[in-house]
Amino acid sequence: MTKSVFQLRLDAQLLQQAQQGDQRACKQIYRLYAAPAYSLAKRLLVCPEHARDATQDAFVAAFRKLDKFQDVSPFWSWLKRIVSNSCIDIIRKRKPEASLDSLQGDAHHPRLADTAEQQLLLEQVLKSLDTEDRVVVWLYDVEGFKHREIAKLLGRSISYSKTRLSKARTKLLNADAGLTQPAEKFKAANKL
Amino acid sequence: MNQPTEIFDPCKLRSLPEIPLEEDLWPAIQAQIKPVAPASSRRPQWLALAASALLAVLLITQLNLQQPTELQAEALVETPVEKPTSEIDQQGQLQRLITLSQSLEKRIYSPRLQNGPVSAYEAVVIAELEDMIAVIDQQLLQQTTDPELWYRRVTLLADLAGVYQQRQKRNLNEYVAL
Repeated sequence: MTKSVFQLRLDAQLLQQAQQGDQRACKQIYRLYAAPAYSLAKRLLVCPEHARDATQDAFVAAFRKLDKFQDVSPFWSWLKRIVSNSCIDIIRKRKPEASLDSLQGDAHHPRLADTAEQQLLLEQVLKSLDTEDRVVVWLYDVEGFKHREIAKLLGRSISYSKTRLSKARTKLLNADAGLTQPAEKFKAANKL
Repeated sequence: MNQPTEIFDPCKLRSLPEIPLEEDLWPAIQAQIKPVAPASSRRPQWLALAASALLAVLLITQLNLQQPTELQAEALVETPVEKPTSEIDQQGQLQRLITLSQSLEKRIYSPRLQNGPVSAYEAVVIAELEDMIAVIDQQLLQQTTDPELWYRRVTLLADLAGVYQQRQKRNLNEYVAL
């Protein structure tokens, strides 16, 4: 999924136009990155409305400080940090009753048979994780963030990020237990 | 940050598909980002006045030189096209819709090139209409003689022409008021 986003190259002229405030160029950039940005937000926040708000906030923030972006790193690497920040802001603002923790423990998962079912199960278990567990495992395993970056985003310590990652992976792999030996998976998951 | 190839993904989370975004957030984003012209691009006042005068001359010239097809298109802006209801109607109207579409294209072409002031609202409307027309054009590549698609295209073009017409009139009034 994310590979295609990494492959997206922002045209230098397009970037320059957008940095000069050209609305059409900004719109083109939005069109290129809207889907991956929303997808990331949805993975972290689960709630579609919150994901939409986070995506919108992230693009507004990105366009406002676009002049600070330097074309030495891929645009998506820069943008996904902003999207992640927007998501963390929304998580912090959430009221306790809106917490996704209530989804925990709702899954008694059947043994899986094929890839589509595996993905469905993975989706369900991912949604059922604690919000911070989900944020940590997604940012680390999918988006390639480092523990110090995640710790900074969440305002926590590096060891907190590592603990959360281990916990999240264990839950994800336990749900997927029928596919390979759980012990092997657990060892693999925590080999950092 | 890790490179994509180095990412360790024991839970296969990366195999999950991208979640599509159903809603277009661009209008809301655009409304919140205000273009700020760099100081170096600001021109002296006399240059702005000269540009306004030139624009006014162009507007007057264009209004005086409207062709019959353009006038026909202008009437269309104020009189919606009847939506085809039967198959016979559709076949009969197809050619007319294509002609109207061409007329509207011509009518829109000149104002589109002019650099008169555009309000934020107009910019949003124009962008959205152009997007919708682009979608119709994509569909027309597959179904070139679908009267329904041509009808929708003409309706959108008429809306777009209406926006440009409104802008022209406003710019002209502003010039006359100077």
